[in-house]
Amino acid sequence: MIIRRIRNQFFKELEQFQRDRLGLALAFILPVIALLIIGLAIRLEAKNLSLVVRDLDQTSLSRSYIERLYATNLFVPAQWQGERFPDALDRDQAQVQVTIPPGFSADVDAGKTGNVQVVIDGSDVINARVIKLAIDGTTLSVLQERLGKPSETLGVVAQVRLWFNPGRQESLFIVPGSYGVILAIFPPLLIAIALVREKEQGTILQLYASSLSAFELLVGKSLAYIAVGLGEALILFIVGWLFFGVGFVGDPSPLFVGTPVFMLAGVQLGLIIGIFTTTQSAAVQAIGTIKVLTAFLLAGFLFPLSSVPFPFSIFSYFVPVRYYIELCRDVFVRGSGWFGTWHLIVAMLVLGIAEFGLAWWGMRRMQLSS
Amino acid sequence: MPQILAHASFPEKADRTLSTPVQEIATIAIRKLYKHYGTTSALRGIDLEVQQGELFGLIGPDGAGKTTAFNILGGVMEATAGNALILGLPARDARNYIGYLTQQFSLYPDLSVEENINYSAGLRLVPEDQIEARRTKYLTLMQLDRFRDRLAGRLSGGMRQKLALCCALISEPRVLLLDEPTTGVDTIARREFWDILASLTAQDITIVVATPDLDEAERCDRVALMYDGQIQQIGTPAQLKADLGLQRLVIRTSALFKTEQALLTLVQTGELADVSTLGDRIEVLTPDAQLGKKQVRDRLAQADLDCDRIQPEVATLENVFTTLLRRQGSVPQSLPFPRSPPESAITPASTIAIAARDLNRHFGNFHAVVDLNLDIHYGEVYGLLGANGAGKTTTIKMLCGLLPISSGTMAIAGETGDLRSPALRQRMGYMSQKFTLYDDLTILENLQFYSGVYGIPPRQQREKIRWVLAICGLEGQEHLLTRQLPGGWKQRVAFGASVMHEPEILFLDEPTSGVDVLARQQFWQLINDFARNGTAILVTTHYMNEAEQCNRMCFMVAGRKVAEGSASEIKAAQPGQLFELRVAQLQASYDRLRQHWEPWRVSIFGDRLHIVLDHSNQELPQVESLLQSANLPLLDTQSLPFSLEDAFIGEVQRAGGAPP
Amino acid sequence: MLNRRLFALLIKETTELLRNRQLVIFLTISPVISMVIFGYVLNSNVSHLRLGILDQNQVAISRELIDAFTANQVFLVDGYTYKQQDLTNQVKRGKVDAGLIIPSTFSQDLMQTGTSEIAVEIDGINAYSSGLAKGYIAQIITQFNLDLLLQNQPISTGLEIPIQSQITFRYNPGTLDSWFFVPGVIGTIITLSAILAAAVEAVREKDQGTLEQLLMTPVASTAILISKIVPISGLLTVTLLMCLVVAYGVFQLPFRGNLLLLLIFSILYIQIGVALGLAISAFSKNKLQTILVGIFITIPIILLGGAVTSVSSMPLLFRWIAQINPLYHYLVILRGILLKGTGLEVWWLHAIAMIGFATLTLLVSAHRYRKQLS
Repeated sequence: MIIRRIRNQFFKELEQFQRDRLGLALAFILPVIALLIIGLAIRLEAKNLSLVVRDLDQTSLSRSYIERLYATNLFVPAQWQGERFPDALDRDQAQVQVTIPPGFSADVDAGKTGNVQVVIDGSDVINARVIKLAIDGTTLSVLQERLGKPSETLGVVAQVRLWFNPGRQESLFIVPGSYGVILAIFPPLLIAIALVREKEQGTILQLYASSLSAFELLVGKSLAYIAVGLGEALILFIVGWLFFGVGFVGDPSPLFVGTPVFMLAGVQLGLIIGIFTTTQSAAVQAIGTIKVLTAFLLAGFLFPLSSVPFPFSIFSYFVPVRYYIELCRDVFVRGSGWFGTWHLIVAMLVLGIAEFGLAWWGMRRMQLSS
Repeated sequence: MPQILAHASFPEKADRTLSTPVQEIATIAIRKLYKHYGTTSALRGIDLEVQQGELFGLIGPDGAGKTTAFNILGGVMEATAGNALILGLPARDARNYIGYLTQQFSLYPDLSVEENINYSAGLRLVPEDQIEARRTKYLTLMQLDRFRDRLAGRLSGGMRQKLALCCALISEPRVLLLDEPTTGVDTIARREFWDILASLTAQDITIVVATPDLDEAERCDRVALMYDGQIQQIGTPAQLKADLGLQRLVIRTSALFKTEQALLTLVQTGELADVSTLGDRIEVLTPDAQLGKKQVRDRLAQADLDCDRIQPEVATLENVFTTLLRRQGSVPQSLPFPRSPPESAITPASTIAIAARDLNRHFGNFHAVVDLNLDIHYGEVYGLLGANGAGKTTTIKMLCGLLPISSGTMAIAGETGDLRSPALRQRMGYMSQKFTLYDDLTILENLQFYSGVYGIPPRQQREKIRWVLAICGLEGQEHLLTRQLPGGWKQRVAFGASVMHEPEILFLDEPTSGVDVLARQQFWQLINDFARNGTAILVTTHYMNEAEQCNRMCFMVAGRKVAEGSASEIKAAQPGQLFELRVAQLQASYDRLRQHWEPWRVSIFGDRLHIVLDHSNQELPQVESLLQSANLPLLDTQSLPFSLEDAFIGEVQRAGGAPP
Repeated sequence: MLNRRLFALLIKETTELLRNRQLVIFLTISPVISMVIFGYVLNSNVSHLRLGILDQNQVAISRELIDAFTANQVFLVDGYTYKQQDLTNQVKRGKVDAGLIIPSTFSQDLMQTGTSEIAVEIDGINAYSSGLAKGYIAQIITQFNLDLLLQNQPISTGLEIPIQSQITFRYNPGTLDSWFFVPGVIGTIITLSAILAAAVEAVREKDQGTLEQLLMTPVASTAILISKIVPISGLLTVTLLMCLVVAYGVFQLPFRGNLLLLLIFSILYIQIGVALGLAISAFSKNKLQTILVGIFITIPIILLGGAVTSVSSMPLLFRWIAQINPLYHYLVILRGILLKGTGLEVWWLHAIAMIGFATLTLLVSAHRYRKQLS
């Protein structure tokens, strides 16, 4: 009996969903386009940082310093012809300015400290940090050389080995993460709209007037949009594979289990928003501010969660996307199989069930409120 | 038209009015039911019992608490106090045995007819092996079987309501709750709808129905009159009418307005209980028919007016209702509209305000309006009548400039060029079918908005808003959100909003749908008042006795004009002859006669039957023998002039029937 | 007359907007809350990486090396293992972010040949943090070597370090992440809210069916358009001001530039968003489509506008695309005023671009909206 009603609700939702052809098309095309944009455009690795150098020393030492700066492959010379120095930064034409003062080489030879003056545009923190690392590195290696020996034979040499993504291919990092972000936004959005629309149109009254329980209603609706979400997921995985070459590494079965579980958790949040808002515009804003922001910013999509400070780091544990992003990265990059992923699926399941409980609580009366 | 009851092979219903079983538990039992919303109380102690198989009518003015009662009975709302039992169970636990048609649209517009039904069936756990049979049965009954794949959003108003009824019936509920199911549905579809209801009660389904149309309520077994959250009277229509203790005199005259004015003095002196114009006749209520007749004749002689005929009649349910409301003092006020001083002389009535020549409109292959010609003068009330989907709204939208025309020419207020210019729109008023007001604004904010966009000067604005609130009886409640108003009240406010700027040309698209009787009368007084002041008014309505008040009108069928003229001209042009039959058993006699004549020829009017006969000499004896053979007493037969409704049904049928 | 009509329209739209309490809350309170949260949470720095250690040498110098790794909080020692296989597995399973392997011959090699090899394994799953980690490791090792060298150089006793880079971070001396992200989050929130809210609110009248009634009144379509733009822009301006107050009060952004210009260009950006929203609503048939298209437009604007990542790191094509992204220009101006204290003389090109966008979007949406009205 319960099964029958759930099935009934499920098919009705799907029928309604596929009725609006443009909406249907958008629901599947938008995620793909979002994936392409994210995959192609988002780059965290610093590159082509514009550099202005003023070599007032013009000695072999200063020239070798500059040579080494460019040898890091991070910098490109900035198109800057001006005289006043900080102008280049003010005008956004350079991100870093290096000045080698007159007498630099002479100071070094005289046993004094030769100061290289560096001004970094700190308003772009991400690049500022990379620039600082590069300049520090350059200075140290010039210094080492100056102190006598070629660096290769000197002291400790670290053999650094990057597992899984030795070339630090950004797509391997960005694409699996973006699956999580995209799938965290669209299915909840669709289900929230579907629920609020029933309230706005008044058809919800028919549901109240039948003995359909909140459980049946929510499960039926959830399953329908989980199905839609799985369709979107499948398309994303295929596009990711064909376009970015991101394929399975090792056992893909955790993904096949984890994706529906993640959908469950995500869709419940959509339902909760649908239940507690009364207009579609409010529901959309809620999804917009809650879902879009958390998915992009609080799920470890770009920046590692380990650096989130304490009281706020708690929030991220309640964001199912973070587990799903981790799961995707595992299945598409790491490949540690069930051993390394089962806890992620359990976490999502727990969150999903808790959210379902909240949705059920909000809907349990299945009555008009006075 | 297909035979509606061809599939209704139900056992003949025993006449319940004679032998109501006393011992059985009432199907619906309401005890001391209260409902408060914050500080306002919608229900104030209702007691009610409805027996199995009864067709029970709930009537009352807008805001009487009917929808609240339905919501509680339907189990979608909790009562503040008291209980409502259905089949011995609390309403909420009995939901599986109830079908509830809400006033709001209860279908999914983006699902097809069949999908809507399937969904309802699944929702209410109809055994899967029975779905197909039931679906076919009810779709056939409602004549929707040809439209299984059409989206619900694309159905006409009448079809939507029938589909909604199908969805409610698919689980074969034992109780049906119908909250104003025929609002916005045309005359013909409305009749079919009530025929279906009658056939359902024959299967022992208990039906509670609310309706603002008291002619419909006459078809109920029992009726409760609600007012201000309480049931004021309850009983069979016959009982209620008998209890009223008043007789009705029907006066037929050509000088309607003057006669009414003359007779109103008798109401003030207390000699007559009430006088009102209904369509082409004047009705007078009097405690004693003979005395009243004499008083009326004397008064008319005094005023130098003559009348064709004064006929004593039994009071109608409408009389019961209006008398009750008058006693309660809740008659809508008729205040003179605060006109701004006329800037120029009133446009002579001979000038044409709206002219249309060979107007056409296609939607793809669908021809919504075909070669329509209209000439409407200033000071004229022109009725555009037709079934749902006949092209009335399309016509109005084209005349308003909201919809481009496919071909033809129009002139509005002499303007032929830019029909969308602000100057022209300032001179026009428009009240659309439903969506005139903003639900999320208060009444006052809505009125302020419309007076603002029409540029009414602030001082007049205040006066006019006060007028609208007064005629709606909403003084002191202007800060209510429009969303919270009952449908009929919204219509009244919307009407006020669309006339505040004193338009020269007024378009009213079903202004009275869902409005209670008294408010409807008031509407027409206001409409006539505007016409007398020179406004050209184009109005559509589904209520034919209202349409009689139009100076001229036309009938539209499938986008074409099939008849035009004044009410009397149209009626005079009808072929055949109309007879009114007074019978003991209305429904059974009706069913019997419809098996022999084309169904449209036989119709129920209040507590009478109307039959249109082309050859009365031969056919009238046939009627008598048919009824006699079925043991259905025929009390009285009378030849009547055609009413507009009879004429409308006849014209529509001859022109090929109402579109689906 | 015209003014009175426009006034009536404005009153109506404002009342309707404010009556939708939930929407107002989502447009004002929740952006501020999200800003506080994200201002604190967003942190592009890499720290507290879990380091697994296999020290087969176990001597003073090997422990010194370990100390060098953990000195500046980039790495935290997560645990010690005794088999290389274990450590590798830990890295591969993501138990630790990096593994440091010091071979048993470490100190011996260093003494004898002056050079010695260690191995560091990094979990490369997160290309961003692993990249940074690699950079930090290189720096740590070099510094370690340098210290080693300075200790062993007899001649250098008492001498100063010969070469030094004096690095100053202009505009953001403390390299506070919040200073970079707060303007980005403000831009993101305004973009999301303006486009979606305007689109959904504008399509509402069409959905309700009241549009026809409105069209029958003598108001000009321009007035309708203005009445749709002004109230929502006003509300978003309030949101923006609240965000700026938080930026100043909570995150102590320096606000170095001209506040009037900040306000002008912020309002201009809100206009662009609202006009885009209106255009979307005019193009789509119903609310669902409006919402989907709205999100569709919003996501690339946010992602490609440089709110959370630098436009300069994007591939060339997308750097070009950024030029037609109004958020990009707005963020340059916003960061310019808030952090750099620059004015029109510096970002006049971006200002012109924004004015161009505002004009263009307003014209397009006005045109589309009018067309829909007639």
